[in-house]
Amino acid sequence: MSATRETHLTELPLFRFLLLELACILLMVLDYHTHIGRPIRQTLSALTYPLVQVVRLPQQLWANAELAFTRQERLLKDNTELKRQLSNARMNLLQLEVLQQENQRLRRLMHMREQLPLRTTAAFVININTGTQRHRAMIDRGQRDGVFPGQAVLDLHGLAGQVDTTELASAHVILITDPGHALPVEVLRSGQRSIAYGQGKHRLILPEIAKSADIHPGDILITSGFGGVFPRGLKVARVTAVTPSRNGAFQQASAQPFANLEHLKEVLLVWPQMPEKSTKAAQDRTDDTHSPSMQMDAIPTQSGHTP
Amino acid sequence: MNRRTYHNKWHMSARVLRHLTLLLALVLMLVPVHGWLKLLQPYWLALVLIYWVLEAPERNGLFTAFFYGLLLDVLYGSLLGNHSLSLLVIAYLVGKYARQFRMTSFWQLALIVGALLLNDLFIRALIDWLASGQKPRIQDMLPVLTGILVWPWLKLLLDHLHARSRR
Repeated sequence: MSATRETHLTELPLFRFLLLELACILLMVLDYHTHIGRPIRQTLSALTYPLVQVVRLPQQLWANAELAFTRQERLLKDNTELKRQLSNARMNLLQLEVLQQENQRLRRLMHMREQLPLRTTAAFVININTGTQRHRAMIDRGQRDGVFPGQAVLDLHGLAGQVDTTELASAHVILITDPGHALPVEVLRSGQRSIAYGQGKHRLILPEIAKSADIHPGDILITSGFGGVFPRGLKVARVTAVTPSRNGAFQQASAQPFANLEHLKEVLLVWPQMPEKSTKAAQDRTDDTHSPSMQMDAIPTQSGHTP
Repeated sequence: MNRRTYHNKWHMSARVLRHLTLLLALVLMLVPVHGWLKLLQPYWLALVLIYWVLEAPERNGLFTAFFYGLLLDVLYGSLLGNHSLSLLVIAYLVGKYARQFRMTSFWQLALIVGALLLNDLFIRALIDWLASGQKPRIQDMLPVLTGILVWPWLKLLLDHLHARSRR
């Protein structure tokens, strides 16, 4: 570009820079407050997903190779172990079914809403780097599978987090231990309600519990269903310590999540319950304004276990 | 061969190389590493972007920076525009002072790259703090150091590839 040539304002690098910078800030604000990010992510993920696959493919090949070379006796051992676990699980399920029917009947007697079993879909965690935001994970289900922001994500041991952003065939999950995450919980034993914040380091902290509240180390925390993001009664964490807060007005508790958040491999996506409407419609709906609030009741009960 | 087609061909293949290396940088940023290695992972995308803006400042790397930053935001699930914003600053500064930067010595340039990465880090830390309350940690500065260490080798490698694509 020659210096003598008269340049338009729009050709100035500074002008372009400021314009794009403004676009970035606008995009961030809009992405933070609205749903405008979703179509953009969906479109761009057509470009980015192949990149994810490039990283994922060697890992899958390695896993397959490992499987192929595993000794047969180890496989046999694994097999018998799994069979044993399965029969155990079946036994538990049998008992659970009886309990559930009983529970349902009692609820009907007390004129409470019936609790429906959770409907879940399995997803795999994609092992990739998620940048400076540390308590995140990427899963291999996305918008085309009906995944929506705010959807609860479990692993086999307990609540893992919620869906944050969705792309076409993948989604980013924010874990409950992320410093930006707040989770309404209740103590299973006493029904005491509080909010659990992520603290990093794979721990949760409940900073504001009334001094009179009934909470002890060893108590199990479940989701309370408040706020409508999570269904009620999902196992979250076990209280490890209760200490007076710094100013002495409250007590605070720290808790260890049940979910194996450090080595998350397989997760379950929870679908909202819609008793009257068809379940297909629930899956097709992708806005997070609806909530499984029909599961909330005024009286805390001890029925909340993931079936 | 007529001069014009020769010129075009050169431009095409350099452009292909540019996008290829930028995509490769994105892939490198996705590679899962654990423990202390994760703390050391350099910001590949920024380094490669610096190289290309430095090589061809007249080509206006701003849109490239914006676009690839957006791709990284989608890949990382961060706020859309987060990485774009910080990369845009890098692209603008490098584009503006490209001539001066190219005159400086090889090692001095590495230090300038470090300063650019540090500036970029501050911008992103500020955004993360404002958006999700994530407090910056001192360890987050390590990628700047590894970036400085990696830069000379990356420049040599890309220079080599660039020279070959020109032929």
